[in-house]
Amino acid sequence: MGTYILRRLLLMIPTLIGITFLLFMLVALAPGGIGAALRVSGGGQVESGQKQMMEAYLEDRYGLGDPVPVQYVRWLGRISPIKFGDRAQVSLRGERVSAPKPIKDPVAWKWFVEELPGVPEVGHEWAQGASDEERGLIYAKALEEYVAARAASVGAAAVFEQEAARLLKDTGHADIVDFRNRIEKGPANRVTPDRTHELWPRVEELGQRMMAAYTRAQDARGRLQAVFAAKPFDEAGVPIIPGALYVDWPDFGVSMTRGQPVLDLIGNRLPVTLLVNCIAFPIIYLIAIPGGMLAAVKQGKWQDTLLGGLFVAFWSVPIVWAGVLAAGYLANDRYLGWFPVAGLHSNDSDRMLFLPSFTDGFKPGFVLDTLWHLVLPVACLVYGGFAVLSKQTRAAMLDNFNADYVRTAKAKGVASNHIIFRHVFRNSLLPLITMFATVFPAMLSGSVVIERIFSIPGMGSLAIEAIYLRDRELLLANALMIAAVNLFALLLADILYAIADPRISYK
Amino acid sequence: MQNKFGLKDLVLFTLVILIGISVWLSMVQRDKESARLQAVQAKVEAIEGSTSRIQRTIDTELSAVRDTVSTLEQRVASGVVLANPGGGNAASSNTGGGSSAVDRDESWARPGVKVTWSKPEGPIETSPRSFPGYQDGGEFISILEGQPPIITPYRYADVYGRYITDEVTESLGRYNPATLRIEGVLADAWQMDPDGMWLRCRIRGNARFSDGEPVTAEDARYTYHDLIWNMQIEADRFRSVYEAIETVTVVSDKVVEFTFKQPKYDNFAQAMLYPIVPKHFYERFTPQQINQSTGLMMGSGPFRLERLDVNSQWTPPNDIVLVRNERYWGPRPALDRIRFKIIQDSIARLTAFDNGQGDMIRPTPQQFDLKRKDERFNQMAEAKDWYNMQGGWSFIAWQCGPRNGGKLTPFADKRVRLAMTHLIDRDRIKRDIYMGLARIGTGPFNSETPQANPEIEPWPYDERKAAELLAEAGWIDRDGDGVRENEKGDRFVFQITYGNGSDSTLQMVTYIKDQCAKIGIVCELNPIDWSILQSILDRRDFDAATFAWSASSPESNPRQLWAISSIEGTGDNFVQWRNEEADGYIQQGETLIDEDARMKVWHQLHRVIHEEQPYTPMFELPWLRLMNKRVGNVQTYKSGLEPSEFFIKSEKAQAN
Repeated sequence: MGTYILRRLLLMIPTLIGITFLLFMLVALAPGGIGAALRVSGGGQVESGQKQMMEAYLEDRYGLGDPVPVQYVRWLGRISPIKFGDRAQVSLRGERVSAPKPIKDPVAWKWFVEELPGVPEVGHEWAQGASDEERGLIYAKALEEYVAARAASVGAAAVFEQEAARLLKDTGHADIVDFRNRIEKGPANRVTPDRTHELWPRVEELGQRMMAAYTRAQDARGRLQAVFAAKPFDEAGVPIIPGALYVDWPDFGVSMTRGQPVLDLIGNRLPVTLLVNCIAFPIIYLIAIPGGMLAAVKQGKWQDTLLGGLFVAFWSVPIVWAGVLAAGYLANDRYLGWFPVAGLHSNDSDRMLFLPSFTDGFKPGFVLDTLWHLVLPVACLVYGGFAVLSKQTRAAMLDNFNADYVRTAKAKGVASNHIIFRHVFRNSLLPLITMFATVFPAMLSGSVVIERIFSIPGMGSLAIEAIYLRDRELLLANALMIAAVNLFALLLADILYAIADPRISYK
Repeated sequence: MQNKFGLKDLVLFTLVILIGISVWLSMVQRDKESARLQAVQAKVEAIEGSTSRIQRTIDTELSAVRDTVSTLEQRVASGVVLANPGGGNAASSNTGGGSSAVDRDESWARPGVKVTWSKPEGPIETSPRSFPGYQDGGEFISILEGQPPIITPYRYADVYGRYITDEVTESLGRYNPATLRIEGVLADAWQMDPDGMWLRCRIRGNARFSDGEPVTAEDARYTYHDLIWNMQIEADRFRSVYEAIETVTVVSDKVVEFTFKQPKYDNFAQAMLYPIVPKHFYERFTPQQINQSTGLMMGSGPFRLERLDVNSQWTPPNDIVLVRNERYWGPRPALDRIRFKIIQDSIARLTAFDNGQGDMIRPTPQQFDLKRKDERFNQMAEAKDWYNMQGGWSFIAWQCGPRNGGKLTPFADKRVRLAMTHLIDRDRIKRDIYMGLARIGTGPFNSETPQANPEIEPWPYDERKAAELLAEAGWIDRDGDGVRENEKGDRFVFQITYGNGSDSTLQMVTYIKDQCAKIGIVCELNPIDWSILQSILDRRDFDAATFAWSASSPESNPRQLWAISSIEGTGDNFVQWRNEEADGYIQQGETLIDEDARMKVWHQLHRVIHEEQPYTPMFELPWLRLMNKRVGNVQTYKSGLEPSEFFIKSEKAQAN
């Protein structure tokens, strides 16, 4: 059993990589691509040159300009607990600090220099008795300088590229320029520009500016690298091979559209979804299983028909319709107005006591208020779930009713209640237990439709937003989480099989 | 299996019960604690409020005394003999008029350039205090249809973030709600260089942030150089808006000077309109903390965030609650609180409004039309629609250049574009699809603003004229198949690209398709997802496209959409409309600092665009709002709404 579980756990890793990779490629290849939402300027007045610069900054910050598989591999490297290279450090504020990112080679640099300026090798020594705060400040200063220099370099390159693209188009090299006036880097270095063309002086001026900015950025990077190497902060993780390999927490990154750590975003949403589902699922089970049992016991009688018909009828009602009707009639004061229409709490919930109180008149308190808000969404979540579970129970019970041991028990004169609960129901539980394992992923994923109608900020809407906005980090973290929970649930189901039924073993 | 209840079970059972009871007791205990804490908090707030009221009284008294003294000094200087001690009283009683003339100390200003002075009372257009049923206090609840993920200034990315920060932060100036001219808010006086290269501003002496610290020139400098243009902070959207300023220099504690990169007309607006945030608050955070923040919002405006706790900031699922800034330097708002609730589903939003759970929503046009005819609704609420500077305008853009670097479209010919405009019965679309809630556009400028040329009338609906124009341009049905061809025999076929998901757009393009078929043009529908619109425009990969531009200021620089230089690369002149005359007007207008002269140039440009029709302007869309009648002083300004002037009517007034 132990080796079986281990094997299954190891197999999960390639499966997860496969799932996230497929999903990532799907999104990347969809029209618009990764980070499409970032590029929409949002009605702001952006002039042509400015727009190129803004886009260049964004691409530089999020690595959007790199090929899609590279972006994926970089993500994998970040979430992997095993990491390569210099260890990251943890700043005094708990922020994770890693070695400075290299700058991309500027486009068409061979037009101006023989060799690109490298990162200068400088060392850094802390002053005698420098406190942790002073070191932190020195690092922050170096980082600020590098970021500013890097942005200036990226901006200068974007401006140069536009002008150089015009020159290339005019001199018969339109094939290496795309519709955005972006130049292919490799071929551009092999092309010799037409230095007699009327555009050349301007191109040269911008090019020199770009190279100067690049050199400054490399210098700043050298300084930052030196400060970083002098270890201003404590190092993160546990080393395995010093300087090359270490183990650290996975880093799920920061949402591109929200700017917040992905884990925080999920952490905000998950409790809401869990709360709703933790109320909904027991209700489904508590109604569907007795219902199924009753239907089995009264097979063919009116109770069976009624329950079967009712549950299937519920199952057939679309949630969108039911939700809108519930909001429109049950929550509208013009009609019944019994329940609140949206959200999880009343306006004054933060001033409520936690529990109901009767001291001066009845006050519901925070708990009852939340439950009251949950009635309609939970009802919508629940009603469609009865049919499958009750039919499953009914079928399993009927199977066992016809089994030999039931006939024996009857012949022995065992009371019929005893037969139903002690013998038949216990044996019918097997398929239900395994079904229960598949509930876990459903618990986490949330329902987009219900969340929208009742304004519940849960996981479903977060996932949908991530897809619409093509938010790489959020999307992948979401997919990874759901996929992992699914795989664990499947494993759990298999283990439960073996435990519940001694005939099954995984030797 | 044996089922005896043994000693072990008893112990376990008692344990469980004991744990349950202790949990219950501890919850009750917590409850009592929190009740007491709330009582204490309420008291502290009350004390804070009364202290600030006292402070205000002292402030006003002090300034009155100061004014009196300076008036007296002036009188003494001008040789008036103070014989009657009662004269002092007389002087202090008319401080209102007297002080403004006296206090105009211009020693801070550059010599020889005109100084413009702001209204002394601060930013207020219509005071709520004169209305019947006025009362101080109450909560105004605005229901938003989208969730702003971030409300930190310079980090928010949507219009909701702007609505919220507008109540909390202030700039040196603002657009006057009625005239749309810039007036002073934090600035009490300014000088603008007649050549447009610098601006010097004096910040009001009494302007304070909501924590009581004064607003200084250093805050203005910090906000621009160390926040907006700090490359570590992800404020790219704002960097692209506020890019004309070269430097912000602190001249003295309250005097700040801006220099600009180029002499352009919008320099003044950029310097006056960026919100100023407190340096002493924001410099405590690392750039990463600001980037990852959700609700680090502090300013000098009439409201402040209810709980500005750095360690537990406001986060998205919760309502956003603003409370009155008791230390506000300007006119005291009537409302105690403004609450922003988010309900994304339109039916749920309307239900919540009907239930009185919100005071204002933005309805869909269908909901608006339904509600304004509903008598019961009109008893409790008002449906307001009005045109303002933030309203967008929709259009059909015609590809005047080659599509995606390939062939020219039929719309390269001005006569064809004009024919298309004549072919579309915009009155009918307005009536049947928009339920009258739209105004036919004439061009690229919002008609509410001075930028639009008031003399231009929209081209009329005229099918005959359209047919004539098409024939003139060489598009005639040559082979009798019902479709027009040009001389080369190419059939007139084009694609209209539009964003899917909107019923009204679908109805509109279907109508256009029918109209085209009637006159012998094949129009194919090409619905797309919004997320790829930008890349289609960047590639210029469309024949005709319909969508809308939004606006947030009364004047927009036409360079972005209409200049020849914006055709290059991925510029926003995606219709590739080349017009030397228009380019001339753009160049001329951009550098004209004088507003009236500049407007004349924009009017000329408007005329050229009208004659050339690179876009067929469709509609200007009004703002639609449903407003509960318990809210008073809801003025529909040309600039939008001013929630800081609202008040909640007293019970008695509501009953009437």
